[in-house]
Amino acid sequence: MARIDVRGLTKTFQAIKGETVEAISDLSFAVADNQFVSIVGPSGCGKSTLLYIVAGFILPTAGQVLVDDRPVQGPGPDRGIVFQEYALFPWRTVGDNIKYGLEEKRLPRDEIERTVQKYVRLMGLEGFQHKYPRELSGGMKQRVALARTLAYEPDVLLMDEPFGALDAQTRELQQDDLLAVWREKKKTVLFVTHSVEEAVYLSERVVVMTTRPGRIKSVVDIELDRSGNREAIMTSPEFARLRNRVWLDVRAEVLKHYESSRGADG
Amino acid sequence: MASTATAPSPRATAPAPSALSPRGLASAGSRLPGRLLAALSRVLPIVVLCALWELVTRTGLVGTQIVPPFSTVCAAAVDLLRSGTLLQHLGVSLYRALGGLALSIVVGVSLGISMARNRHVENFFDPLVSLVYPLPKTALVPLTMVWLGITDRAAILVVFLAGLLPIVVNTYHGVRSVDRVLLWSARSLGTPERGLFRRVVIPASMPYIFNGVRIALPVSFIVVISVELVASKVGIGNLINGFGGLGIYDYMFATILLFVAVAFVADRCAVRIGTGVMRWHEERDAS
Repeated sequence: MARIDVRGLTKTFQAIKGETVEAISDLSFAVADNQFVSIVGPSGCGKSTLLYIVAGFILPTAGQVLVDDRPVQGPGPDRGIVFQEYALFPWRTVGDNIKYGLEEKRLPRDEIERTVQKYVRLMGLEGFQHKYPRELSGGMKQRVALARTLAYEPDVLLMDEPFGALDAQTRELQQDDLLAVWREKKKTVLFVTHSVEEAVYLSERVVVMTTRPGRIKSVVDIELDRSGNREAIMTSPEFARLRNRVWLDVRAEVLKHYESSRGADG
Repeated sequence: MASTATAPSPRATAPAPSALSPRGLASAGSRLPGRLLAALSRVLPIVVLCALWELVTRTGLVGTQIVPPFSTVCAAAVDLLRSGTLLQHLGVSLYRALGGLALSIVVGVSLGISMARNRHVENFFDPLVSLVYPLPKTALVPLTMVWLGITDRAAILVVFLAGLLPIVVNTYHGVRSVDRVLLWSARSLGTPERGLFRRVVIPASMPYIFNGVRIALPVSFIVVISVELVASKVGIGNLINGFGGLGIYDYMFATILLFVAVAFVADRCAVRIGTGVMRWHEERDAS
């Protein structure tokens, strides 16, 4: 059964002086239960817009999103979100940030405390509980953001370039931590990223979007032998083949976008 | 809006940020001589100025009828404090300044929030705010004298008007600049639409609101003295005016200096409270 079902989604934005810009156009795809699906595409193709519609932050112009067969009508606790810019509450400590969703659930205090401790341990945040976000590195902030979202226990994780602001080494470590969490907690993940490599490494399926208005260019199933470690996976010929396949699709769209914008300028 | 808000650091214009900030203490706390040296380096310009003051008056470079020597002014200050004259007038001035400030905080924060959250309220008040902003509020003193006479209420009204706008403008910008992703995060973490204000908007705008108060505080001190110079029978402004009119310049200078000291302490207290409440706040000027 499809956990997330995107059907004929179109979103147009009102630009200045009554002009409309079509961000995404007639987009359809599905994400199965516990599946890890990434969305890649050129900048401005509407990847984030798509994710925000699934999250319920913005409404589509046409089409709809079904989550567990129910149409999305607004943000909901069944879909947790993680942003590139972390979006931590700066006035709350690490522990209090993780606590936020649990407070909204009106859980008993000792249960909140237990859950916070659990996710502090899971994300390796021991000793940072009483720090404020401004005292943390980018990688740490993203761990807190993920812990805050996981603590609420949503079945679906929507991730908007969560590692985009991190340096390459931190990024790789976070990716592996995310994979470990995904396997352990059995989440359905919809992951937006710029990085083809990241998408192929993490996902079971990669959706490539076209340049604006965003449509589906291709859907690539990633079948990799994941029994080995990162080194084994990323140096395997199969990884290179899939990476090239996705990269060429994205590249073609990037060039198309570049040509058309140059044409418009000239 | 009439003006843009400045960077909302609670101690953006603090003259002594490092020694009084918790972080400054933490980093230098172990090396006492370093801290002492830093403190001395900040006091030094004031000491030099006072020494120079003493020197030019004692040598006759400046006539003591125009500027009394610093030491004479100090003696006058001690006398003013001992006799209780100063405290009596200071109480009146502080009541007016802080009363007006309290009013402008209550009204200013409410109005700023309402303008930021409701287009109709904004459209109605925005032209008024823009118009009244550049008006020197003390120009209203003749008017308030007619309306309210020479009373505490008249002084409080002028102080209130002077402090109101910086608080309105800063609050407005604070509420307006709440990051969209914070609101979205809260929504997806289970906060209902109507809960966002209390859970996110207010805490996120606190640095801006505090910045407005920080600007309004010295304004209220300045304005209360200005009002009392022309329209009051008591208060520090009246005291200064009285000594000046009688040519008792050492006491006049002493009154001014003591009031400056009080204003300085009040500002430091405000900063202390602000940084205590907002330890989480990222400082733009941190090195």
